[in-house]
Amino acid sequence: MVEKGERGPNGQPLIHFAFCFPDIYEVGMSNLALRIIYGLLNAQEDVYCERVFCPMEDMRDYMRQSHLPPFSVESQRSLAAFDIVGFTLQYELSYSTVLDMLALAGIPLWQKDRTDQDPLLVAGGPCVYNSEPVADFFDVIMIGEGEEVLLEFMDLYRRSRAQGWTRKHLLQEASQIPGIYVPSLYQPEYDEKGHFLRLQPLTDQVPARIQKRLIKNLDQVFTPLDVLVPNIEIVHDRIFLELYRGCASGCRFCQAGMIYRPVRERTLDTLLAQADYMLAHSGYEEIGLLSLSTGDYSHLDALCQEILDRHGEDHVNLSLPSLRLDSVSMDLLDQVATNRKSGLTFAPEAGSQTARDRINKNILEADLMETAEYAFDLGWERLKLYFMLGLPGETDEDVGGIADLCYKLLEIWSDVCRRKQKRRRLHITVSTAIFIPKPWTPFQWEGQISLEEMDHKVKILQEKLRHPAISYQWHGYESSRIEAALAKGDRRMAQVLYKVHKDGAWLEGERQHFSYERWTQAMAQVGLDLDQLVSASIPEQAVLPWDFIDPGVEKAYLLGERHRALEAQTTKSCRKACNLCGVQQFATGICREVRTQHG
Amino acid sequence: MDKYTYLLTFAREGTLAWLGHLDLMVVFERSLRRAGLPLVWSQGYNPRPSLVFALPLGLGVECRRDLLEIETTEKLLPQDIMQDLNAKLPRGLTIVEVRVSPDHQKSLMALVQAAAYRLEGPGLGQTFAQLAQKPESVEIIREHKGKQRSLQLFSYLYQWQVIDENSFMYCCKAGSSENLRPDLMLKALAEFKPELAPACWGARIIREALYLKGFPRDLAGPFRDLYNNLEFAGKG
Repeated sequence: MVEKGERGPNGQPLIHFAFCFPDIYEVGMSNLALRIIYGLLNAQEDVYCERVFCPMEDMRDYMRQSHLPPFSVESQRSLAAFDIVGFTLQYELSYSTVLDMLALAGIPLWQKDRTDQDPLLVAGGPCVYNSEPVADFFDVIMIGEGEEVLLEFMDLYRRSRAQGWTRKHLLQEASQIPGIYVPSLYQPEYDEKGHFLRLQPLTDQVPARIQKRLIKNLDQVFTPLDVLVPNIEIVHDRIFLELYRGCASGCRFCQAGMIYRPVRERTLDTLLAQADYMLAHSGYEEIGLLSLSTGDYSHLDALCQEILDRHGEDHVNLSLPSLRLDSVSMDLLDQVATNRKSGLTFAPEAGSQTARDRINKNILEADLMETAEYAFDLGWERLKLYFMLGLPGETDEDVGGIADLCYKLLEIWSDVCRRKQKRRRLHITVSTAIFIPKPWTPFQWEGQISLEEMDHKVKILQEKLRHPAISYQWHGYESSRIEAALAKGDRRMAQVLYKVHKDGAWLEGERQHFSYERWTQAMAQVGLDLDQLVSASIPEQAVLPWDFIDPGVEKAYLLGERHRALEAQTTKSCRKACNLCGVQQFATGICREVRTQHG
Repeated sequence: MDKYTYLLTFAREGTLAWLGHLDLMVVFERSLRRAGLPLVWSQGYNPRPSLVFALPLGLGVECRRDLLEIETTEKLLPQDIMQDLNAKLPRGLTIVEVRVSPDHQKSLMALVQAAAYRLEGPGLGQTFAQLAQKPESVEIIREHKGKQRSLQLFSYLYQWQVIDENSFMYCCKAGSSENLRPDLMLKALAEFKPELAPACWGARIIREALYLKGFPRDLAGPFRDLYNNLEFAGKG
């Protein structure tokens, strides 16, 4: 049911915003960005933000047969009837689902095909740090943290409606807001060999480089305290308490660790007040302490103790993902974790010390063993270990190192059992993913290993990890290759995406829906070389399709880190010393503290 | 520790009918927490608030007077419980009545003997009336431990009433010993008249009431006159 001309409390025209998560409800509702944007927009008197998710297979088939478009959870308004449709781009394999939802809604996919009567399409999320593969589908892309830029955009949108601007005029004005990228005002250029040359602004009015937006003070920014409580079970079914943004570790493969810098923490008082409010108003029984590395939060111990003191009687649990590997964390976990059955998760990522030094994942084997022994003593019996295969410089010996670690852990387990005179079995699950070079990391110039090499490495581990106490899970080779293509691709990938969409691609994050052939065929039809795109290393002086975005971290820094990786030299955490990565320009968060400490 | 037990009568309607029973339990738990009621918690490894439902409410089934019991550590006024909880329940779930729970030895679940259901859909009432003409001919298949048994549908029914051509109501055996799920009734109707199948699968199912052995009569909904006369067979 379309209600044109709906009015707000003061008679002002309502703006209908659809927040679309290109996955099913249970996954989308587990996302923090959704909650922030939803709360932020609905706090505005004249904005009505509703959620739209992707239906599951059977419902989707039924909807297609009955010509039912995707609709919002709140009022079942059909997607095409919204003024603004916003997608959050959380992972590359969700792109085909974005197109699928738009097509089901009858909204023209290409930006150039849409009229002023069609909804305005906006996007945000971590993938916007290279959004070129989907740029031609969106009107506006917001780079960085949305709490301020989204409201600035909504102000502009209000004005555009009040003054009757054309869409074109609105987009031109939007391009002037810092952090906003209007793809239609830029044109990519390639050389005769098909290499990307540059992204050319169409006028000198639009910025040549777009810097991300970031919130300097997280204690004062809007936080969604009126928690959305689902009525059905979702993947992460708890309160999200965001401790801080950014990460100081500097792991070289990790995009999140680079794009969310600088580290900005919320104070203990702010977090406690937020936790109190959210618990009282939601009735949730568990709080998840969220950040990229929760063990690094300055006041973690005090925070946990205080929350448990205040709410332990009400049987409130704490969930502590992303903990560091040390005994301090183990002590905390011991006090806090009520359920030991789910086990402990560590992510050494690489099997040998040299390999870990290359990627700057600073975990010493001795620490891992010591922590494990401590954990076994406390009663933990299940371990999950995450590794990546195909990291730059990796040798077969490095891969074998993964197995060595596991056997050493089993030995320690035997020792503990002997000491405590118990006979139980340790369960180790090893999970390997394939390394994917991501934009804005020191490894963005690297190539991904070939399918044959992936197979070779997995087989090494399958052989070596044959043991009753160990179960080995390996992540899809082919989907990793396509993820790499979408991560590193330029605007030509849009044609490929369009073709795979037409071929029925949808919910490709789920293994059963992903089809490699669909992608290789589409790439061949468009005339792109998948091998070249994914596995070739990029010359350091080349202009990258994402260079026009400025995440704060400088290319020179990333290059420096890449060279250090080649020498297997580590880099200290920003909390210990400033590495002058570039984000010190924002003069906020720990950059300010560390620099005053160390000069 | 002192414990006070309260019996809550609740209704569920509309889109909230599409919650499985486990999800419904969690919704109640969270709403009870929001209401700030001083609940008794279970002991052991995974403490849960003391909340017991008389009979699981199936996915898609609305209800008018289902029952649940809570235990609190403090004595509370029933009307306060009702007010506080209704303020925090999601739309579609309402507490209809709260009273101090009548004394009972067995658990709430063990006391359930019968349930009243109303089914609505085009032609359902008319078709059921036809079925009721020859009750001994209507059979349903029940599976138990891999074995299938054929039983008479009407052996589960105590009483019934055709409301109009599109709806009817019946009181049937329910609970842990013998239970007739409403979808089995719909299946029987669809088998009797195959063209009615779409109406059956799209039917509105409302559980009108639950009948518990020894419970106050004023809790009963329709078929109240049966209440004292119902022979509660099986393990009582």
